[in-house]
Parts: sequence; C-alpha cells; structure tokens
Amino acid sequence: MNPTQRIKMAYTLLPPPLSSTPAKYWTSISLWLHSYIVGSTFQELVDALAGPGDIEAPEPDEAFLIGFLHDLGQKMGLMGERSSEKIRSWLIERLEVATGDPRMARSLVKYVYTNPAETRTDITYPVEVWWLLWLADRLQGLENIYDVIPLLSSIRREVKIDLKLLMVNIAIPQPFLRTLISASLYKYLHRQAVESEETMIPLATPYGAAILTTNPDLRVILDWDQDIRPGFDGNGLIPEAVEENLYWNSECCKDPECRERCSGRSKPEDCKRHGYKKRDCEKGVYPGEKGNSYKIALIYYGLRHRPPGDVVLPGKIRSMLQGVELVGVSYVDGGRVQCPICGLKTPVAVPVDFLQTFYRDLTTEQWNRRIYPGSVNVLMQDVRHYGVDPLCLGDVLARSRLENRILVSLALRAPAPFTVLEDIGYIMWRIITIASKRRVTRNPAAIYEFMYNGDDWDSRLNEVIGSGSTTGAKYFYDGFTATVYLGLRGPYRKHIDEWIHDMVMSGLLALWGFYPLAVSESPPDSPHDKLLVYYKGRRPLYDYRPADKGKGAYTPYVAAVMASMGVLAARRANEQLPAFLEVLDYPPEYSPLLLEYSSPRVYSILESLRGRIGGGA
Amino acid sequence: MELLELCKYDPGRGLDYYAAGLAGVLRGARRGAASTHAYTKEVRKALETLVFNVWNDPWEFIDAIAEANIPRDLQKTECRKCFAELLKALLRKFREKADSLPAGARIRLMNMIVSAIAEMARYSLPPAGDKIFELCFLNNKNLGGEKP
Repeated sequence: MNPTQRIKMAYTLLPPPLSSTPAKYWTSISLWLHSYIVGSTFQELVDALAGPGDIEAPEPDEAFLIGFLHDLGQKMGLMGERSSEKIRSWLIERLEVATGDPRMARSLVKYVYTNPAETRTDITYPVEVWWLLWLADRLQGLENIYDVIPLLSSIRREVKIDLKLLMVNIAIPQPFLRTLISASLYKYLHRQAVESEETMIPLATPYGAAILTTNPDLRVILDWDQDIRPGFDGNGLIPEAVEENLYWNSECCKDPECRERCSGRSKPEDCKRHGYKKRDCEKGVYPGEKGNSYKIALIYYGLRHRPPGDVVLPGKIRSMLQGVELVGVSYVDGGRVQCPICGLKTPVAVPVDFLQTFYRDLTTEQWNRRIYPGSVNVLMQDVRHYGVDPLCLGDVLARSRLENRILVSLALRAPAPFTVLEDIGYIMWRIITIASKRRVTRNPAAIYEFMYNGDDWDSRLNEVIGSGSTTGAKYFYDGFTATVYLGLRGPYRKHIDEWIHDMVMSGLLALWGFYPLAVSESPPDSPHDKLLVYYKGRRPLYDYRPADKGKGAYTPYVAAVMASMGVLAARRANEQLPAFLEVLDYPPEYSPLLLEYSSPRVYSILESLRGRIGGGA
Repeated sequence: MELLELCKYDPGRGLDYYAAGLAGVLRGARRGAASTHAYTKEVRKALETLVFNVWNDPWEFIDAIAEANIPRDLQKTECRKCFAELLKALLRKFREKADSLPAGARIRLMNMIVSAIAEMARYSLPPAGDKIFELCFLNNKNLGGEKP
C-alpha cells in the first residue's frame, strides 16, 4: 500500500472535523494522528518481524487498519451507550468505502470494540502479533523514550521477539541542517537494512531519534561527503548557478589582477554579474588561511567545484553528536571568532552579510538565533571578531529552499516513525497548496469542501490528497525533534490579511488533525502543547492545550471558527474597524456560539455529523 | 409535549443550542423579513434588559423578561411557550457563562448572539433549530400540514 492510499483510508474512516478530536489528556495529539501513528508503527513492526513463514500475520493494509481502529470505539463511544449502534453502522459504512470489501469491513469492525492493543489477545492472529500492537500503542504514551526498554524486555520474555533500542541524536542548534541530516540518517538505515536483512525502524521523538533494531551491533556512521554534501535531492545544497558564481568569485579572489579590477568604485560587468564583493574575499576565516569566503562555502557545500581543504567544525559539535559518528570532518577546539546565530566559537567563519548571497530576503527574525537579546550590537560589543560558522551557513542554505518567509511547524510530543513525519509533511503541504489555489481566504464557499459533508467527500478527499507526487513540495521533517516544517506564505500588504490567512490555514490544518502548530518566521526554540503558537501574539481562542480535560472537547469547534475567519471577514467587509477579529478574544468554551456567528453553515455541518454518529445536539 | 422538551433549559445544552433553537422559531415567524433587526428585535431587547438593567441580581427577572418579549406575530400557543422557554434558557445560560467576562466583552458577545441568530434564521439553520422549526411550523393543523 502506498502512503497516499493509507492517508485516504485514514481520512475515510475519520474525516475532518472528527479527525481533530483530541486523543489524550497527557499530551496534545489529535485522535487522527494518534490512530495514524499507531497504525503505521504496527504495520512496520508486523512487516519487519512477523514476515512470511515465521508467524501468521495480517497483510500490511489490514495491519494498518487494525492499528488505526484500536482507539476509535473508546473515544467515540464516550458519547453515550445509546449511540453505539449508530457508530457501528457508521464505521461499517466507512470501512466498506475505505477497503472496498464488505466482508473485510465486517471482520475489522470488531477491533473497534475489543481493543486488542490493550487485551493483547484475539483468535484471528497469534499472540505475537497482538504484543506488537501493544508496543505500537504503548510507545505513544512514553514521557521518556528510554521507558521503551522495559516494554522491549517484556516482549522478549513473553513472545521471544528480540528488539534493541539505539538512540541517535544530533543536537546541533541548526534546525534546517538537522532536517537534512535526519533525511540522510533515514537513507543510511534503509541501506543498512537492505544489506544486512536486519530490522531497523527509526522513530522520531522530541529528544532524538530512537532506532528499534534486531541488530545489537548497529553503528551509525554518516559521511560528510556522501550524506550531507549532496543535499536533499542529490543536487547539492547550493543551486547550480549560484555555485558557478561562487567558483568564479573564488578564482577571482586568488588572482590579484582580477581582485584589483573588481574592487574599484565602478565595477566591470562580469564582476557585477557574479556578485563579487571585496568584503567576502577578505573577511572570511579559515585555519592557516585568510580571506576567501567563496572558497569556504565551496569546501563545505560545493558539489561540482570542491577546492582542496578540510571540513573543519568547532570542537563543541563533538559533544552534540550522540550515538552517531560523523566522518570526513575534523574538529578544532576554540577559535577567535564567535557566530552571532548559534553562539559557538568557531575556527571557520564567513562574514554575516555573505549569507545574503544565497538568500536575499533573509531577515534577522528568520535566523533561528540561540543568542538573546535581540540586538546583535549589544551582544557583540565585547567580541572583537564575529562571523557565521559553516553549520549556520548550511542552515541558511537549507532554509532558503522553503522560500516562504513565514513557516508553519508541527512538533509532535509522541514518538512516530520517520515515514509518518514524511506523510504528515505531505498532507499539510497538500492542504496548504489546495487551500491557496482555491483562495479560501477570499472565497468563503471553498472551506466547506475541506469538511465531511455528504457523499461527495470521497472524491474531494482524492482531490486534496492527490497522487503522491512531491514535485515542488516545500516541507522538511526533522527526525531528531519530531518536527515538520513547511513554508506558509510571504509578507502581505495589510496586517489584517496576514491574520486572516494564517488563522484560516491553521484552522484547516487543525481540522484535519494537525496540532500543536506554530506559525512564525523562525521555528520555536522549544516544543509546546498549545493548539497554535502565533508570532503575532496570543489570543485566548487558540492559546490553550487541546489535551485539557475541560477545553479539549471544543477543539473541532475552535478549529472551525479559525477556518471560517475568511467567511466572517467577507460578510463584515463593510465594517470600518476589523471587529471580526474579536472572536479570537473568547476562550474555547464559547467556540460553538462563535462558530454560529462566524459561519452557521460550518456549524451545521459539524453538528449534523455529530448527530449522525450519536451524541450531538 | 416533545417540542417543549426540546426548548427547555438543560444544563447539558450550551448557548449555541438555544441560539439555534431561537433561530428555528424566528425563521418560521419572520419568514422573508428584510433585516437582522426585523428578525431579532425581541431577543435583542431581552438580552439588553438583562445586560444593562438587571445583571447583578437577575434571577427573579429572567422569567418575566422572557415572557414580556414573545413576538406578537407568533400565533401558535405551543410555539409561544417554546420561544419563551428558549429565551429563558438563553438568558440564564448567558448570565451563568458570561459573568466571568469583562463588561465590554459581555456586550460584544451579546451582539454576536443576536447576529448569529439572525444569520441562522435567514440562511443556514443547524439541525437543532431545524427540528424545532419543523415541529413548530410544518405540522401546523391550521396550515393543513400532515401529521408525521
């Protein structure tokens, strides 16, 4: 089963707005995400450990669905005893659509009620299978990933499946470079698994990547030249045209005649075309050499042109690598120069303004600075030499691929397989793309199409999820912090339009089950548990934990209010003051009423869905 | 009987339920009226009396306020009763919930409720309101409708 089929199946069973129902009290995760993660983890475990010949095990499709269904009965059954028959028939109908097989639908629906993830027994499959499902579910509840060790030993004791845990972490302060390294780690593990035929399931957790493996001697060795230099797609981090310019400039720096020619007040045309700067030629720092920033950039990230020179990293980086060895680099402790972005003392540096060569619209807010306060001048008054270290240069290069100035990020607090992060990035990207194409902020009717409302849902779902092609996709995931980053938008002319756009988009993402969200210019420094953290300020409507016992139940309404801000704005277009923003000033308890105010039609859709499967009005 | 049950105060029902119910009754009573005000003048009057005149000690007045603000053009006795019950419940729930809000936010919320009721009555009636609308207006013997 390919990922898009799996995603469509999941949204057929649990369509928005139901998908945004919170699943847990201890952390903010939606029912959809929790079910999807358990389904995928179970599928991967079964695929790897209960392979053909060993144990009778469910097929991948079935395994995913068993995992996906495990909590639905409990969560949706909360609406009362008398509604259980309604839920049953609703689920059977949806399962028939999802699987296309009425018999399979009838056999699967029992798992909703028995919850084998907790009972660990069912006659259909041997007990080993259910212990793996138990593991997939219990993984979600871990505060600390090392708590998985007792779970693995009980599986070893009870069903003789021997799994080990290997923690790998790259705690460097450059989030976008981390996304590149985590993609490389995934490819590395895939290669290793194919070569050695051992099981390797990488899980992303908030505190590093956890690898579940049957190989006790697994070692992770990443090579700078093989794993980092080729970039995300093998074409290098630096675009080809820029690399050619860098090479030209670097050669020019070596040639006194060319330097003389390009350094005058009026530069010749070729110097201008290649973006030559005298400053970048002279102010770089490299051990044993002076000057040439162009050469430094090529030594670290050049793919087509690689001047001789070692990849030298600050000594402190060594302590930031856990369970992983980085080869093809050397370390130098200390250094005269301090980086204003990450704060490390570095032996290699380029001038701060050199970054603009790669990313012209870069603003200070977009750097993920680890050093506060905001004024670099105050900070640097005692530091005589400062320059950007090469890892921060790589971070800017990776960031520049997202293009948009404002980002949206989702940081999971529960462990999830790397493949799930990839899927999450894909769906979020599709939702943002389709919503922008339909101009949801200006065309109020379009938001109804993102919610379950009658029989044409399945064709609309096909449209939103698409074919799985990732051409032009703008998303990254970081397996070392379980975070997904996406480009959201550029600047708007009017402040109010930015509010509407961001609220509508985050509302749609939350309706589809994606939170906790953050919308900001640079990713937040620490993970959070709120529905949304917004760089323009905190408003009571979204500034709460969906895991909260009292407020959590309102999450679908809150998400729908946010998504229908565009509807409200269109209706209130003649108002002098943008008074419609005031719906954000009320806490989530008021969200059903606020939804009646901002979009009665969306309220009706939500209520009739709840009425259809029990509970409701 | 069933209609009255749907209209009565019940702690499990939220403000949104009563607003939807009132919209259901007003859709029938004011069909085709021209403005938000024409749909909701009684509800607004009742809420304003509560908010501006008796907010601090409202409990003995809520019933009277509701009884005094039943639309004149609502003819059927059962519907009049239902409207009064819904209005009582809305006032009561609003007083309970909005007490913790600052006065300004309370007034803005009142305006939102009125606007929401008019919007629902005119364009998009949610399931709760629709049920009340059906029981109140579509089974009217005087109109010659069929009994379910």
